[in-house]
Amino acid sequence: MPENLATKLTATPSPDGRSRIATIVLLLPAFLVFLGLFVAPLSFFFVQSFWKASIFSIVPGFYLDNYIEVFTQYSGPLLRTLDIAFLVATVTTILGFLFAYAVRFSLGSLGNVLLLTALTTLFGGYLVKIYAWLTILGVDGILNSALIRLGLIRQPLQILLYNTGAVVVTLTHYLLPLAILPIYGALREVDETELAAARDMGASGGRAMRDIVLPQIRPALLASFGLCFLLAAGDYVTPALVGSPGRAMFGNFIQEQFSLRMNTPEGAAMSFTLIAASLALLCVVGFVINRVFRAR
Amino acid sequence: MRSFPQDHARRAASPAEAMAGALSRRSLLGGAAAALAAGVLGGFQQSAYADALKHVSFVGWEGYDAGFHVGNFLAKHNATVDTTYINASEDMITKLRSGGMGIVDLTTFNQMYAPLMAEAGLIVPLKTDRLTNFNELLPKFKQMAFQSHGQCFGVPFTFSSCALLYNPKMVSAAPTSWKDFLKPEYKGKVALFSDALTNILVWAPVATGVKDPTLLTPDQLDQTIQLLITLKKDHVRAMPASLGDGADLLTRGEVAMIMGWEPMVLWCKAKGVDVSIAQPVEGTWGFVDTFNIAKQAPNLDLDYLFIDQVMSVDAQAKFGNDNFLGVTNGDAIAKLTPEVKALYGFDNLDAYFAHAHVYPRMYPAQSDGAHVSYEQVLDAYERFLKA
Amino acid sequence: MVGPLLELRGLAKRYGAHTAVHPTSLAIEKNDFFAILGPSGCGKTTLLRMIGGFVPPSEGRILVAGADVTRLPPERRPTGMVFQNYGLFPHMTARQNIAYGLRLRRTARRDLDRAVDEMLALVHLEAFADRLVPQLSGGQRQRVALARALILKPQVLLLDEPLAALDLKLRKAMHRELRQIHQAIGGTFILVSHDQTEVMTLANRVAVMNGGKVVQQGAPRDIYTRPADAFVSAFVGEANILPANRLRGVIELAPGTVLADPGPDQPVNVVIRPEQIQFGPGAETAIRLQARMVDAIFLGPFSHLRCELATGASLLVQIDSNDLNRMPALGSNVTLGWQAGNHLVLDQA
Ligand SMILES: Nc1ncnc2c1ncn2[C@@H]1O[C@H](COP(=O)(O)OP(=O)(O)O)[C@@H](O)[C@H]1O
Ligand SMILES: [Mg+2]
Repeated sequence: MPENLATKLTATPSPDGRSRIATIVLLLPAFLVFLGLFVAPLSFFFVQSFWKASIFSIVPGFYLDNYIEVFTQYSGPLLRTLDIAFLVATVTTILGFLFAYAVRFSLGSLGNVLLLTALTTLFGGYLVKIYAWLTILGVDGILNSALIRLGLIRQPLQILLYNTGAVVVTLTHYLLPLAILPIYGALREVDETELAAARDMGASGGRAMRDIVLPQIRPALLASFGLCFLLAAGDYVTPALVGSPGRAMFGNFIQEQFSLRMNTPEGAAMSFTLIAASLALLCVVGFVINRVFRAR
Repeated sequence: MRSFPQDHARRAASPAEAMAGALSRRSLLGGAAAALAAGVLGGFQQSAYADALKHVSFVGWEGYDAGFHVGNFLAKHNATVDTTYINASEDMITKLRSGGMGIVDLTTFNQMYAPLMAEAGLIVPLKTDRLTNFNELLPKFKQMAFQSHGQCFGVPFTFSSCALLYNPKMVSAAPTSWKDFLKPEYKGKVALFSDALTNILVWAPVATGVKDPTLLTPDQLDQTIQLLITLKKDHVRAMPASLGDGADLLTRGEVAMIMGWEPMVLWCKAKGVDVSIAQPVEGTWGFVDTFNIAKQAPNLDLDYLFIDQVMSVDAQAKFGNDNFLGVTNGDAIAKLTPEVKALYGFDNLDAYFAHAHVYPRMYPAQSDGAHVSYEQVLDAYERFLKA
Repeated sequence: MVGPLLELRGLAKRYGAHTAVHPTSLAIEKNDFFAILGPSGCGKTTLLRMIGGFVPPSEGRILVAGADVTRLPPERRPTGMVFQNYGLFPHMTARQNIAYGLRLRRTARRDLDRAVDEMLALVHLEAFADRLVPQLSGGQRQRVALARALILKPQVLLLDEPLAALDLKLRKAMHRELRQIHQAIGGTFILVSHDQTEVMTLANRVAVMNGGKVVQQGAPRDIYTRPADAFVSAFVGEANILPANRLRGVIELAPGTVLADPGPDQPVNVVIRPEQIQFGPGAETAIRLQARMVDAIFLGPFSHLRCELATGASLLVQIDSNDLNRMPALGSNVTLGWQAGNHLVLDQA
């Protein structure tokens, strides 16, 4: 976070000029990488988002047309995308928390095995997971076969695949390890004795979780939520592969602008709208998490 | 950004990109090595090393470069290929527009795009008399090569079509029309392409009866979109993101019929599922891809030799057999496997193309007043996606 | 007749093949300040945590005021615990920490505030009430932990080495405070400690643990003067332990030094505390030993001299530090001695 960096930089005592120069020299590569990899391309596209594309060329200038178009033409897909991302991030963060909590406080050495297993699924790659879910949820998939064999259904269920539910399941599976990591890291900082003390004073397990654990890991909760939310909001592969047919995500339209329509200004405007909307939503979520789980 | 399989099917204009399974690993690895070599050597290529190894830069679909490696062609001409694979036709345009001019030699545009790209100053007209194998082209393709104002902007090199594929075990009777997609018995058991151009070009004749769907009135475009929306909302199980995913829908029994592609028949067969090609009365869109020379190509003379090479009998036969795709060199047909020959009905190609329509050119960049422009088509298609 | 407030019956804990606490039975009376004393790893925490409900016993029962609480979860036991590392809630202020238990009980705001203020006063933390835990010093944290447990008025307060993390001076001050608090509010305290001075200062009853077993219990003074075995004698206070043999009722400590001690023939330990040994050429004592002085250790008001016997065994002798400069030079031969009855003879196990 830039603010943190800034406070750290200003807080660093610089007793003599030489050490200050050394600090600057040491920080320079990181600063240049930051500038080159993050600031420069973003600024470039931000400026472009106010340009205008005409048939075979791009006209520099200052036009708000692109943004107006985003709101008039693409608000549907944008809201749908934010909606799905919100759902996925919520489910994933809750599951990630429960998993990390059990690993940290309940499962002992078995927990470490589970944690390692969950993290190794990160190596499987993203598409592999999607195709795995296709073979699980399909009409001749594992789930349907099992249900038929158990005699619970006679015809395979069609509703398992190609809808928003399948998107949520698939993305949750993909993102879960990423949600677990920050939360587990934060939980390791919480002393088990605090939980024992809360129990001793009369708190139930759930109450201790809410009063003692959750308030202490608020930043990690937001980090997990934010990570999952941004990845889900930017994703358009999963919805294309397991979602409702033709229910394109905002990302599809962005991609279309950059490739098929070669309208980088519009694509940039759409990207920045998505970023801004996501950040706004994350601010709200952060505020809510902070309030709901504040120390009382 | 992750690699995105949907990009594969995004343009069926040159559908061969999704041959992932069929393509040899060698060409893939070769491509990577060539790309690396290009990065390292790129800066030197036109300098003092005139007599040294020549680097020919190819930007096109994966697998289309296979012909260069047949025989000892590269060694004979002391040349090597720098390969850039694309995910969509637009990638070639982007590459040429963003500094590729003067570096890129060869591209593989769909025949519909080629005249437009020449108009935009990206590719040059070809002197076909410099191509010894041009005369071996089947008459149909020879003629097709010159259909734009008598100039040739690309040598037709392969063909295929958006075929109506169905699983005989899941239908009561072989489909005879694309309208069979709308039958109640197939509700939730059909699949569309996820590519704008293919969906419009296939469904516009169905929705409006128009003969040339590249010339649509706004009304006709609207009717086409309405039909697509109806299909999507009430009938379609999925819009597979890539051609491979489309074949998967068939093999997994998710759908009874799909907008498909001839090679899928053999992909499905490899997985033990028999699918058939129907002959819908409305016909379909035939894809023909061409080899083009980019404007300011650095190795112009060599580029002709390269195109001649991929048009040679051996290169064509290998390409067709490896990828289950149609070939345009008449003498190569005899060397095709029976399966590939059967897929495209090489004994009666006229019948094939009477069904798979090859349209002369793309939508106009600007509307002529009566007909819609490409932008309008894409806008309308987005309406379908958002619905 | 009223039974003990807390009773352990054959309480034991095993971790796999390792027995942390062997079957233990204890009776603790109401208003006792009971201490469990033992070296690190002897099972004190495990025993205390079983009483608090944090560790399920492998066998045995726990009764509080006659009621079996063995299977109750911690939140339903009439016990309160101050943990070894406190377990304070770092995201809360001192006040919020102390109030937490009452908040769980939905105590009315006014009662809650009053009770918390009382507790803050009791542990002298009024000025620090609104500091977050990380902003408090070790001693302050310790007192928050204490107040947080006390505010719920538990029938039994369990203290797991509550002062171990504090420096000596602070620890001494807290000993005073703990005594005062116990006297002020009464109640039954069980203190776990490995520090015998702490136990001596605070407790009215002590159980000494070793290797998962209670080896002796009683009043601190009795344990000090009549340790049950060599371990207790060495662990509780300083003790010289001289191994020897008893033959026909006589123990020969050194050539020429014998003790009469009726009993079977067997190896024994003769235990004598440093402060019981007299020093000097003119020691008029029943038992005398020749030794060589090898070291003098200044310890404040008193000092220790280390002396070596001809047998190679070494003895610590306590003297008044005022006498330190009247001592012979290191390496001189000296005579040590003590009155009959000051030593203790323990059969070797
Ligand atoms: N959860 C546990 N699993 C296995 N062994 C344990 C566990 N807790 C304590 N022990 C063992 O039990 C013995 C007693 O531990 P503890 O009660 O903490 O001792 P003390 O508090 O007296 O230092 C030690 O040997 C310790 O290693
Ligand atoms: Mg302990």
